[in-house]
Amino acid sequence: MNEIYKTGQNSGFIIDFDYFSGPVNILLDLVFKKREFIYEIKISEIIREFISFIDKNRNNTLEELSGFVYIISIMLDLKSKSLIPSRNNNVLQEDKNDNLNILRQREDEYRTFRQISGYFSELLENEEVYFVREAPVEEEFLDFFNEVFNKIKAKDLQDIASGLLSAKQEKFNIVEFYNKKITKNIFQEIKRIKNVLQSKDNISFKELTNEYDELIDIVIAFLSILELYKNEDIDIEQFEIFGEIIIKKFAA
Amino acid sequence: MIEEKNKYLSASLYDELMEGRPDLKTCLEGIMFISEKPVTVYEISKILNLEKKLVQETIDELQDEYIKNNRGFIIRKIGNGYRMYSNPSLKDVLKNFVNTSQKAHITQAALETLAIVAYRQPVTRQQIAEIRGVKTDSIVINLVNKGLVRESGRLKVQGSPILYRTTPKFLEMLGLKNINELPELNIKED
Repeated sequence: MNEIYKTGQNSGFIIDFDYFSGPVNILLDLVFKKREFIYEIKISEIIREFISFIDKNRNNTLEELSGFVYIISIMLDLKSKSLIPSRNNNVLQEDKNDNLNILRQREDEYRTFRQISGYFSELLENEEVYFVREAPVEEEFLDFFNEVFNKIKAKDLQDIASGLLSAKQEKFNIVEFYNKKITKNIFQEIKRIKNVLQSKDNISFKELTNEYDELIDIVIAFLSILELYKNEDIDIEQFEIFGEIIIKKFAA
Repeated sequence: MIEEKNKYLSASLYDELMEGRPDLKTCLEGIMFISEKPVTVYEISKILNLEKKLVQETIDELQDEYIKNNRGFIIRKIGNGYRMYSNPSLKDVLKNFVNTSQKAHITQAALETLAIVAYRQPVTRQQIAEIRGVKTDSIVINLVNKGLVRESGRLKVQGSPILYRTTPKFLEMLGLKNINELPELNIKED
């Protein structure tokens, strides 16, 4: 544990929520010990509390402030990774050296492609000495002009443009979403899905959530599926974009 | 009737041109002159109902003739096909004649994206973003719109992301005969 990590406990900033009360570095420690705890943590709430804390305590040192930013960034990283389905990837036990090697490898790869882009630039420059007969209309648009534009009138274009440019009503209210009382958690939902899959081999996501009226319940069901997939409890199939998601028992 | 047909040619010149039966070189010149994209030996041999080998040999002869006689145009092999280009020695003369602003401007980000697609094809937008470290969705869409990259099926993983490949126009833009002309990559992989 380095020095900046330790500073979290000296900043005077204490979290006081239902699920945890104490300094943020202890919270992070808890997350490392009990990985499921990351689901309980609302990072946006912690940040909001911290902003109000520094508004009231202007004398905090830069080191204390950056200590908080450091801890919160680790939590954000863990939280985001925990939501992404990835097999054989125990996020909280990742070897830092491995990550560093991956990073170096990616840097090498990027540097090589950057050099190649320089080579492409040279080729483009060489091509500047040649001139060629240009097509008046791109080939892919030839049919488009014939088939579509011959049938479209100016009024049609005006209607399409007006429709596209008119202000859209925002149907999703994010404030309302966050203020909704949560009646279940991911662990309960995981248990329910496992129970459902005991009696049948597969089920669609639509069937699984057809009794849910609240968006938050559907989101919890979706996150539960990601967690089950990550733990190799289920398999997921989706044959087309926005198509039905089929949840199947995992076949080892 | 004749006057209508030949309003840009004198009657004697028109008759002279129409009397001579076109030989293969004349046909090839005509086809490549009017073509707005590289034309393949296969396409020409199909139109003229001739052996591909004969068509290929005649194109090679024409290529040599134009260079030997220092003509204003040359024939270049681009991708799978052949196309007429101006003689590179005319660069300074023609740049004042042609609207050079029409030449495609490719940004550094787009060149990097093209390099990744060229070497890693078929590749998804996510795979490109992983190498570049930034989202490249709009750049890929732009390259597709420019005809330099095309969709090539979907990767069989969750979400079925679209795969992308380079197009013949990409080879044409860089003056490459085929993708294998690109130098080998030198990346250390563990």
